[in-house]
Amino acid sequence: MIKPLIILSLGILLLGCQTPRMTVSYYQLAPMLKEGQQVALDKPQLLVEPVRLVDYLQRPNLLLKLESNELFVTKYQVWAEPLADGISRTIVNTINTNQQSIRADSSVFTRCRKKDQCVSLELLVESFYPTEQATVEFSGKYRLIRNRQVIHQEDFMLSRTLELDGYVHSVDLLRGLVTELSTKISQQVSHLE
Amino acid sequence: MTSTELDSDLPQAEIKSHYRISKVWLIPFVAFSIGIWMVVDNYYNRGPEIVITFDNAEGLEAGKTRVKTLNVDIGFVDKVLLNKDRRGVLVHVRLAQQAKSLLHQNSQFWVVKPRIGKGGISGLSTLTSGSYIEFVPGDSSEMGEEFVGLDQAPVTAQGIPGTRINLVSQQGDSLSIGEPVLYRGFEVGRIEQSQFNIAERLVHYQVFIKAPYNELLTENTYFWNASGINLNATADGVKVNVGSIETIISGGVAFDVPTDLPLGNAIDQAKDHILYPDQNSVYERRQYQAKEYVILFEDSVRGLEVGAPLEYRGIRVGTVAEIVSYLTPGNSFGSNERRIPVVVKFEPARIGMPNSSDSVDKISQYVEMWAKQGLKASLKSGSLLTGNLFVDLDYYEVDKNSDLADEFNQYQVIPSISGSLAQIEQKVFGILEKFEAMPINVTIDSINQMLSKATVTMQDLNQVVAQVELLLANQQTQQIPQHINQTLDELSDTLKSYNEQAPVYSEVEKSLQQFQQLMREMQPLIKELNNKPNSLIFENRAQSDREPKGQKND
Repeated sequence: MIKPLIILSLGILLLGCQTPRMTVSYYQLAPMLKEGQQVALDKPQLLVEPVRLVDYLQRPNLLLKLESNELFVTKYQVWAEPLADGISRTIVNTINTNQQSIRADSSVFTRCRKKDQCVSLELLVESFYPTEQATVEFSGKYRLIRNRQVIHQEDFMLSRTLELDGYVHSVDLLRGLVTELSTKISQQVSHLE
Repeated sequence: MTSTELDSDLPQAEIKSHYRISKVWLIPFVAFSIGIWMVVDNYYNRGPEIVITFDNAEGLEAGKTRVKTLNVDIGFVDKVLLNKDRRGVLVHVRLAQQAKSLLHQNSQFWVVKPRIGKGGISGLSTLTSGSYIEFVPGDSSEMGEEFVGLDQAPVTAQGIPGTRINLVSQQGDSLSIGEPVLYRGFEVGRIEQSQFNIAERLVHYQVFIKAPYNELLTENTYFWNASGINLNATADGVKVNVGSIETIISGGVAFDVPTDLPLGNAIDQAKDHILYPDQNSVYERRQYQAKEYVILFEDSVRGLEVGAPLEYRGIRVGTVAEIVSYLTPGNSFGSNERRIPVVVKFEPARIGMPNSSDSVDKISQYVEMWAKQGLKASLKSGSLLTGNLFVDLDYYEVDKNSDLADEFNQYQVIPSISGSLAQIEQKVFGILEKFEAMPINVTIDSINQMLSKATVTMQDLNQVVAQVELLLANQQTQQIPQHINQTLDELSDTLKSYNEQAPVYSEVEKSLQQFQQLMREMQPLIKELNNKPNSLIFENRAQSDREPKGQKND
């Protein structure tokens, strides 16, 4: 009789050790191309160099800005790929989808085809997160380089208002901010040409 | 009826005297009147008679030879008479009335007849029409009736605007009337007159520069003889100046402003200008205000000529004026003075100072100061080809001679030093003396000993070489390069397997990426364990992440 009681007690104890499982959510930043397109090699080229992130963004977890100087690091909200790669691909895919006058390429994948028609983009991201104040922020600085000479440099601070709760909506808006920056950069490159 | 009655019955004739002149006489009267009118008219309307003096009457014939101006017939030769002294002819010319106003005192007459000269062939048309007298009206305010005819057509006709310049030349220059005056090869005038002045022993030329080229003439304009080919061997070397083909054949005068002078103001026509023998002389013999000094040279002055440059480190500052060859109290045979005096002109205008006496005074002070600082003169060779010398000024070590010495024939004396050639000569002699003083026999013995030792060394070296050859001939030695090549090939193959396209490289890269991904996924777990080590067993109640709130839910 004692033996079943012991087994039952151990079972209850083991049930006490049971951990409620939480699901990890992975978020993809870069939009996927809807259809393939042939690369026009004769267009002016924007070569996107690897994106540099400030130290607190160099983590797979999404961040939530609580106060002006307080960040919350999520446990179960994770980027599906390194954030720098995600931003870089977002810029490239956005420009190649929306902009017909120039061609964007990742420097990881290709190099300058013609030096005179090639502009390199160097981007440093300083903030990229939703906030407790129902906004998303994307800030940093970028510069455009041609023939080893800086031809344009700018600090930017983009933000949008969160309409819905949750990280899915936040990531959508963050992607929208990257798209907005991409459009601005592509227009500047077009004017340079 | 008597005869008397009969007579009385007859009517009597009325006898009247008839004094009327016959109308026939009108004809000779009218003819006589016309004749008188013609004579009077001819007398009052005839043109002036002038007298022209020529050396001879060649081609002139009374009543036939015409007088023309601008090819218009304005008169004829009336009489040709011998001069009183019988050294010329007086040609009486009757001109038309309309030519009376043209007879200015400086009008020119000459006989146009066929001529062949350096300037070409002229007057060919007179071969068929006969000679005639060409008349060019002058521009003088006074009128004349007696004129002196020219030997030939004037180079410049009266009334042509331009400037006449007098040139003076010491040489004959063999320039003739009519030869061109050139400015940079372009003909701008002609030589009008040439005259040898016996008293001055100089040749005077009058040249005419036609307008508007006379504006090229300034006070700094220099003229030179541009005739033929000018070959000049000076201390600067051999120079050949060749003018235009016309000047090579017939000669000519050229002028320009030297490149080292400003243009200057308008030319002074009253002043005689020197005609230099060639263009180089303009630069070398130009008249400058100068201070003259004497330099006493120890070296031979053979090759030094009057006109040779006086230079300071390659910049011309003056000219050799005279090489004194006569004996003076200072360098008589009886004295100890063996040096040869050379008079030089220090010309301050050549170094940018104004060409004035003030500059000469200044340069005198400077030369005195420079001499105290070590300035000395030496003879240097200007051209190894011609052997010509020039006088060079430069600074040397200050010694007891570094000052202007006492006057030599009223000239101050610039200290001198032996020239480069003389110095080289002294050095060569010095070297030869050292050679002479060397113990040649002892040296040769030492060299022989050294050579004998070297022979032994070479024999040993030959043996070593023979052994090396044997070693190289060994088959194993010859295979060493082959083995090295083989090893290098294998090493190359090994390295190829690690390049970017190689499978090994891609495998390593893939493994690293997987490791990075694993580490990224492990990071939250590691942080959790760091915060709560027992979280693997006793994890807290699952606490979901804080989420951002949308504005609609506020």
